This record gives sequence, C-alpha cells and structure tokens, in this order.
Amino acid sequence: MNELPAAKAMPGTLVLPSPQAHYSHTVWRRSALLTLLLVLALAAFIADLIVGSGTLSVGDAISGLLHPDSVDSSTRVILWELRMPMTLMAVLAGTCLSLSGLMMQSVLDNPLAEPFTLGISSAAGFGASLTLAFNLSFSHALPGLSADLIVTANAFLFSLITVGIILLLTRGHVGLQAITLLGIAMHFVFSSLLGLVQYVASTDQLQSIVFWLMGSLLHATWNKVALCAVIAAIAIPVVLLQAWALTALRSFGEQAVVFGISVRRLRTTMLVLAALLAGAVTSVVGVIGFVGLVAPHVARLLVGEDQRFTIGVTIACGIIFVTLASLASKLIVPGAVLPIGMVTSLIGLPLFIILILRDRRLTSR
Amino acid sequence: MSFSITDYRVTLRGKPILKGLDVHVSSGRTLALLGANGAGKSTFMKGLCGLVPAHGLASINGTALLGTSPATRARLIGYVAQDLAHLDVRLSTYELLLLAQQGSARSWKTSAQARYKAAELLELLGLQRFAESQAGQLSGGERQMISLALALVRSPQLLLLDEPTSALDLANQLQILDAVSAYTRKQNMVTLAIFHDMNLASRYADDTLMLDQGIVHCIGPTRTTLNPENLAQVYGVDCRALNVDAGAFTAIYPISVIEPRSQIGSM
Repeated sequence: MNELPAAKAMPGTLVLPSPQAHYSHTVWRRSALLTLLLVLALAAFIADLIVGSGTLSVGDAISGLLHPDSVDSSTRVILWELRMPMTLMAVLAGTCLSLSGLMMQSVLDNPLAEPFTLGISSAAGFGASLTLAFNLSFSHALPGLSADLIVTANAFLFSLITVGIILLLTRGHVGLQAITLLGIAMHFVFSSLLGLVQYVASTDQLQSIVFWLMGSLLHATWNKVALCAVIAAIAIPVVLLQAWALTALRSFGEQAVVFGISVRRLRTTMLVLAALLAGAVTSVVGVIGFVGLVAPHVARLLVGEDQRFTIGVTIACGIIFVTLASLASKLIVPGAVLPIGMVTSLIGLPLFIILILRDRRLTSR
Repeated sequence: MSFSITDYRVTLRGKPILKGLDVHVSSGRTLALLGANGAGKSTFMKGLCGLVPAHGLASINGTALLGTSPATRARLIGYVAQDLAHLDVRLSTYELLLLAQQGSARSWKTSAQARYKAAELLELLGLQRFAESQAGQLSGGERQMISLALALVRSPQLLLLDEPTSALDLANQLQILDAVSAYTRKQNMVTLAIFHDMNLASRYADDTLMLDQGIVHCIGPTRTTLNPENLAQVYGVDCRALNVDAGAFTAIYPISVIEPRSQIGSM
C-alpha cells in the first residue's frame, strides 16, 4: 500500500509555503493595478472637464472648478451646468455599462454578452421614440416629474419591461441559452416597433429620434446624473458583496451550488441589477456600445477572474474608455461635439479585434 | 456517526430515476456505487448536493441534507463531478482552493486557516507543482486531481466522487484512491464513489451498493456483495472473482455478456 503523503501536523509549525507568498504577491500586484487605473480614471475625468468645445481657456476652467466664486458667471455656468453634468454622465455611463456588461457575461456564461443582450437598448429606444414622436409617456402619470426626465423615464420603463418579461417567462428551470435567445427575441420585437415609430414619424421627429439613438452626453442634466448615480450607488455595493460568489459562478458554473452559492438567486439578482444599470444610462444618453462588451474583457486580461479585483478594474476601464471617448468627441471636429455612441464604437471596434486575436483561449479553439 | 437515506427519490422531467432508496453507511467507510449505465448513480449524487431536486430523507451525522440551503449543504458535502468543463478559468489552483472555502461568505479577506488548508491539500494530493498553474491549461487527469482537492479542502463529512479516476493513469489512480481512503478513515467521514472499474471498487470500497434501474439491488460489505452472481444480475456479464497475492486482493475478470440488453448486442 502506498503511504499517504506526509501532512503537517500542527498549523502553528507550518512554514509559509511558496504558493502563499506567490498569492500575496499576486494580490499586491492586482491592488496596485486597480489603484493605477482608478488614478487614470480620475485624470481622464479632469481632462474631460478642462477640455471643451467652447472658448474657455484651460486656466479659467481650472480656477472655475477650484474656486467657483472667482470666475464670472458665464464661465461658472459653462463649467457647472454644462460640462460637469456631461463629464459626470460620461463617468457614470462608463461605470454602469461596464459593470452591467460584466454581470451579463458572468450570469449568462457567455463572453459575447453585453448590457444590451436582453434587448434593453432597443426597448429604451422604443420608449424614448414614443415620447419624442407622439408625446406618449407613462411618466405623465407622475406629475412631479421634471420636464427633462420625461423621455428618460419612458425609456427606462421600457428597458425594465423587457427584463420583467424575460424573468416572468423563465421563472421555471429555463437554461441560460433560453434567456439569451429570449433577449434576442425581445431585441427584434422592440427594434421592429422602433422602426414602425420611425416610419410614421414626421421629418423633425425622426431627426430627434435618430439623434437620441446615436447616444449623446449633450442630453445630460443634473437630474439625469442623479438618477444614474443613485442606481450605481445601489448596484455597486451589492455586486461587490457578492464578489466571491460571482467568482465561484464564473469558475464552477451550475456546480457553484456545491460550494454553497444559491446560483438561481444570484443570477436573478445580477440580471436585474445589470438591467437597471444599462437601462438608466441608456435612457439618459442613448445607446453607447462596446464599453459593456470590451471593459470586462480588458479587466480579465489584466487581473484574471478574482472578481474582488475584476469588478473594480472593469469599472475603472469603463470610466477611462467613456471619458476619453467624450474627450475625443469634442476634439475630432473642432467646434462640434460628435455623438459619443459613434465614437465609442469606432474606438472600441479595433481594440476589441486586437483583444480577440491576442486571446489564446478564444483563437486556439 | 453515519450517513443514511430513507425513501430517497429523484424524478427528472417526469421520469422517476431513483425510486425510493434506503441506504446506511457508517462513518470512516467508503461505499462503492455500482450499476449499469442509466441506473441512476450520478443522479444519486446530484440529488444529495442540490444539483437536481430530490425527495425523501437524507442525513449525515444527524444533520438533514435535503431541503436545506446550498450554504448548509456546502459545509457538509464535497463533490467531484464527472464533468470538469467548468474549471477553464483565469484562476490558479491555489486561488481555486481559497475560493472553494469562501463559498457565499461576504468577507473579502481569506482567512489564515483557509490559506493553511489550501497549502495542506496541495501537499496531501501531491499537487504543489500546479499551485500557480491555471486549471484550464492542465491535463484532464490533473484537473480531476484539482477537482478532488477542491472537494476535500472544506473538510466535508460526506464526500461524493463521480468516477474520480476516469482520467487518471495507473499510478495516479492508486495514489489518489489511497489518499482518499486514508483521509476518509482519518477524518471519520463517509465517502461514496462511483466506479466503472470493478477492481478499484474491490480494492478500495469497504461497502458496495449496486443500483439497478433506480432501486437498490444489493448493499453490504464489498467482500460479500461484489460477487459474480450480483454482477451477472446487474450488468448481465459473466465474471470470475480471482484471488490475488494469496487472498490479499480480489480481482474481477469479465468473461462474456450473458444477457444482451439491446438488439446490437444480440446474436
């Protein structure tokens, strides 16, 4: 009979084994990377605030931000009423879309999943188009709602309706593929309805719908920033608390149950949060593509699957990506601001192709 | 101190797979779960660890298993699945061992005890050289050993092994099963293992349970239960039991199919 490999008897006498030292180093390296990316995100945020399409000089912008009372009122308005909501919205869009993408990819166990996989973008677009074209809105039932939120509220409501329908249809033991396919079905339903609205809309209405769909930070107001900030503030702590459970879900799939994870409850919670995050941002700024798809992939390449770090790095990458895209949208055509949705897709596409080709896991099979 | 199930039933898609089983295993013992394909062996294990809905009573050392939360079961049960597809992830073996102990814990920090247990298991199963490797990049046999380490690292009271050696070479089969049976006795836990190799069952299992179409065909000490009569009835194969090394081991040698169960197999 073979002898059992000798096991150390006393926990106290065990010399620190090398895997532990190696692991401590890995954790340190990941923490450093996360910190670096958060600093970069902050730098991108400041750069986006300082650079604008207007005539404001960089010096004026900085003093207006640090000492609002020291500059004239027009500078103050440009900085605090125009640029600040836009830049904060860029930060929130990066945060919410990247986190939503990460959740969708984890929950649906699909590397191609993104915030709009369940049809949220087309549903929000349809909801917005109803208000833009026919002034139809469920939000008329909310008399206290401020005027700038009416289109947003309708878009948000419709984005939640899709997820509600999908969850309702999949209450039983329905597989992940079924959820994904239902999402694609919802996407087709709402894009057809959106097409119908565009078909019957007048030229002016059509223009406002198309501009809305392109995705633009110019719609941002403090009210809308607050809406997205509240949802992000609810979602992020919930997701972070589930970091280990999400890592187990990524690693063991369905079998995470064996490691003590309530897989179905975790999936439902994360799906609802992902929908809330994506729905809120999309309702405000329209469709901003690629961030939700690319940021989680970049994060995994940088820090692996330990979600304690993947979540933070994904969010940091999302913020950097959208704020830099916002910066680019102001600089590419002098004096004009391009729709950010177009810019993120144009920058995101080459980045995404490079990532796919570099990833041995995806190209080797 | 024991594992027992009473009137244990599993129905999948309206089809009864397990039809009311009663099984009792004393602590410190290894039970071989045998039976032809489709007899319900894997389902037996999946029902216990909550992967499929199960009915009846099941308990380990007096604690009920069925109908409890995943977190409760995870503290009691370790499970090595047949399907290891899901270990293909950007985490090192050491990180997976920490993750396996963390479960649904809210705390972000790994405990010193968890890090100690991870290192201990790597040593116990001779896996130190894979500590920093990503499981997805290892061979099937290496992944199977990591999977076993993940099941053992939480010090379960009930260990379920679904064909634990299917991807292992001869030396690893012996090494792993020696380690498992020694660990079972040392920790006074109960181990259930599905085997397709009768010789491994004969060598490592204290008790043997043969399932036939969802019911218990026979259960008892391996020495008396794993015999040519039962094998003929359950597998439809004519076998010989041979003494090896002056009776130290019993080998099972299959001779021929005596009861063709499909048209393809018939003359």
